This record gives sequence, structure tokens and C-alpha cells, in this order.
Amino acid sequence: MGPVPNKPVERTPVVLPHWTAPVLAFVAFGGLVGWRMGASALSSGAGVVAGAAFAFGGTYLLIQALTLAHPGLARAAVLEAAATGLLLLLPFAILALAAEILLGWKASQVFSAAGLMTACGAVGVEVGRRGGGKLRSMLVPSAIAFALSAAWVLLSTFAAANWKW
Amino acid sequence: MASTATVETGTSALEGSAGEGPARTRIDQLKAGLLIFVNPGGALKGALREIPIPLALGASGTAFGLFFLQTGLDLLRVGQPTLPRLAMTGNGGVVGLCLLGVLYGTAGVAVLGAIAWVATRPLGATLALEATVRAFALGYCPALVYALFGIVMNVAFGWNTALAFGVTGVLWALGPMIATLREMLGGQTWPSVILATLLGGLTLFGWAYLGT
Repeated sequence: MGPVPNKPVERTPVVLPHWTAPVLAFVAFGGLVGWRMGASALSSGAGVVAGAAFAFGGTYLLIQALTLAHPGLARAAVLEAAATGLLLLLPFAILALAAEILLGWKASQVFSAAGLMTACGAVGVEVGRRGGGKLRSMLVPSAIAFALSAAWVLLSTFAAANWKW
Repeated sequence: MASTATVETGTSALEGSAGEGPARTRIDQLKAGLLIFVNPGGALKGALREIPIPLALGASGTAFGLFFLQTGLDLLRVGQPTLPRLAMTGNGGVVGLCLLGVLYGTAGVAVLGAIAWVATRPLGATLALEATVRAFALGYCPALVYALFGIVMNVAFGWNTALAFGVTGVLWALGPMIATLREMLGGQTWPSVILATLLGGLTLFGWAYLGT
């Protein structure tokens, strides 16, 4: 398939870099998991660092996969789509913090998994709006979101169960 | 989507389209209901906008009814009062909680849509109240799917599913909610995200207050 012409999209510009929202969200998710590992500053700090690393890695993976799947689409357009779509992680992170702190729920994984699927889906929609292939822009982010949410749930469950700081 | 060069304002895209062409079939609407998982904005602008409001609120009402029912069954299983705020226990409490869920998913979601409609007016939204409520109610289609799976697992295997399936389903509704708000606000992302966080929190913590 030849190069896909990038479409102009009218919207409010998202001024934050593409990695900001996922890093903020996973700092929160990681901090909550870390708190469960030992309810100390050290365990929460470890969770925060792990969450930030996971977010950077996951965002990089998503952008690489989308760039590879859409060779004709400018990388700037993919980054812009990621910056807009990944903002949707923030409500999930805020609600997870509120649920854990105010209500004592221990369910941050439910929030992170739903947030990842929703936000990556939104990135796909944004890529589609910018001229990405209709099917690929839906399937690629969904597959990445599924893999990332499974990885995060496994990692955080293992950490919370086995590492007590 | 291929012919759309810009983000549609949604003011007309989410409105009903009586007289716009042949009526969509139920199968198209069912497909669109499932499409809401991956492309909520597109689904809400497509076949779903033909659905009458009572049916849309029926979907959200059923979703919340089943969600609250799972909550009641979970509480019954662990021996806690099933409807503590009305001092109802046992099977009667479970039925009461389920009915409360239906009310929450119909009247509550309609109120939620109305709050969103009022809150977006100063930000330039012009979508009709009816279309806003319809879009908000249909946003709970993913929650309905989760609730159906959850109730099967709850009854068949005796699992506690309210948190795993019910809350997950309600969280999935945040995607369509943000998509709806973005369409209403002409593509403004930040106000949509902030409003969806507040409205999503209201829904979720409302359930926590009433049901547990």
C-alpha cells in the first residue's frame, strides 16, 4: 500500500508531550501497587519508578507499532495521535487513586486495564482520523493494549504477592 | 470516516436522523453496540443514534440492574446486609438492590446526561438534551456486556464478580462518555477528560454509597 495522505484534523491542541499522560497515570498505578507491597515510602517509590518505566516502555512500543503499521503516516501525526488518545488514561488513574484512598478499594488493576484498553483504542481512532488504515488503526492499538494490560496485571500481582518491603 | 477530513462537531452527528434515509436494522444497531468497545465516537454517530431513548435507557438500566444484582449476591455470599441503607437483608435485599440498580441506570443516567448537557453549554455545546441523554445511556453498552458475563460467572461458579466485572464495565463507559463529550465540544479534549472524570466518579462512587 502506498503512502497515505495525512489528513488535517481540527481540534484543541494537546500541549503535553505524548508520554506525559501515561507516565503520570502509571506513576499513580505503580504507587498504589507499591503501597500494597509494604505500605512504606520505599515500596511506593519502587512502584512509582516501575510504573514510570512501564509507561515509557509501553508508549514507545505503541508508537513503534503504529509507525510500522502505517509507513505512509508521518511520525509527528502518530505522536500527536498518541498525545491526544493517551490523555484518556488520566481519568482512570484519578478514579483509581480516589477509590483506593477514599474507599479503601484494592482494585487499581481493574482501573489500569480498562484505562489502557480505552486510551489505546482512542489512539487508534486518532490515527484513523489522521489518515491511518481503518482496520490497522483499530487492531494494532487493541493488541498492544491487551498485551500491556496483561503484562501490568501479571507484574503487579506478582510484586504485591511476593515482594514485601 | 474516509470522507471526513475534520473532527465532526457532533452537534448534528449525535442527533437522531429521522428522514435521513432507510431505517437501520436491529443487526446494525447490535453491531454498533459492540463497536462502541473500540470506536465509541464512531458507534455513537452511526447506527446507535437511531435508537429511541427508552431503549437506550433500557440498556443502561439493565446494565446497572445486573451490576447491583451481582453486588447483592456477593454481599449475601459473605453474609453482609445486602441493602444496608434501607435495612434490607437476605433475598429481599438482593431484589431491592437490583431494582435500585435499574433506577440508578435509568433515572440516574438520565440525570448524568442532563448534568453533562448543562455543564457543556457554557463551553459551546449545542447538542440537544435528548441526544445527550441517549448518547450517555448507550455509552453503557460495554457495561451491559460485562454485566451479562459477570452474572453468568456469579451464578454458575459462585464467584464474587461485582468488582471484577461490574466496576470494569462501568469504567469501560468512560471511553464512550469522553467520546460523546468531545463530539459535543467540537473536539476539545481537556474539558472532555475533566468532565468525564467528574461524571465517572459520580457514577462509580454513587454505586459505592448506595450498594455497599
